[in-house]
Amino acid sequence: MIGLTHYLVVSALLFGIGTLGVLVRRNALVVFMCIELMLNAVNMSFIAFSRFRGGMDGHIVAFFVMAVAAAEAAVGLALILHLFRTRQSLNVDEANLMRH
Amino acid sequence: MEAFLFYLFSTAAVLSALAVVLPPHPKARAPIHSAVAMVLCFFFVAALYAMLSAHLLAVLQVLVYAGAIMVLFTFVIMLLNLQQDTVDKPEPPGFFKMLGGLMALTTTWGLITKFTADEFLAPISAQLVDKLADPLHYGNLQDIGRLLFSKYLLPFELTSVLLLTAMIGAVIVAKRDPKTTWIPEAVKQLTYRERHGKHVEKGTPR
Repeated sequence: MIGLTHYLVVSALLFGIGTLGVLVRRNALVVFMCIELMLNAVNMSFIAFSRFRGGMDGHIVAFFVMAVAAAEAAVGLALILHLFRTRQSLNVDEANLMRH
Repeated sequence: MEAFLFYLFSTAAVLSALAVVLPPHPKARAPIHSAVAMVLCFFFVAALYAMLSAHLLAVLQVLVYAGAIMVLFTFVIMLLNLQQDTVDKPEPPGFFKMLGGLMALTTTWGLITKFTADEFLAPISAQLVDKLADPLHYGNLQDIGRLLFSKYLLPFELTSVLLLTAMIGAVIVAKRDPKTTWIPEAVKQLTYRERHGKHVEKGTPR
């Protein structure tokens, strides 16, 4: 029988992989994708908890997380575009100044 | 059957998530390979949502994440015209990369030991149910919509403000600023020729 713990472990694994990507990869786009991965992992634990409690409030929270992720993707990708235009590089180590 | 599907989808999700971070092939280091692996991962996570009877969120996951957000990523990758990844060179990991990997590993290990401990779910074990009371209506559009427009009306309306703000912010940030934008010399000459006719002599002052 697949219980709540199973889903929580999968979500922990996805979150850990996302953390690994943010810390290890240096490409700004890939770092950004890993942040989306972490948001997804959190969503999954929300949905698992709400399924095994029989309520639907976790679904609403996951819905809001999705909206925030979409907003974040729009602004973040605009920032990445700007970064690439001014620096000709996507390396997050080189982007250490707030100005040009 | 449920256990088989769960293990199938969760293994596939974790493996494709790993393919986002650690490229399976040394030549597959470009961001577009990570993006494709990411879309795959989103599909498997959507399958897991469907197994949790969150039908609406499974559909939204495919539409919003695998559809909209990843298409946005692909647009940016195409716009930047990155043939190959010049950032993440396959070199032996340095001290900080090792430290980062160690930190991620300990985070994952700590989370898993916490979740699998017996006393973790003890405080809410009285509320946990194995079978849903109304499996046909759980997680469908109608019930979530009703909840969204009654109990969570204010956050829902605030979400629209957030999305509008993000839209305006993205347009302002991504707007091309001619003073700071780096333009290749060839493109500069091309635009000059387009503006001033095709036959420009070599010594023409620019």
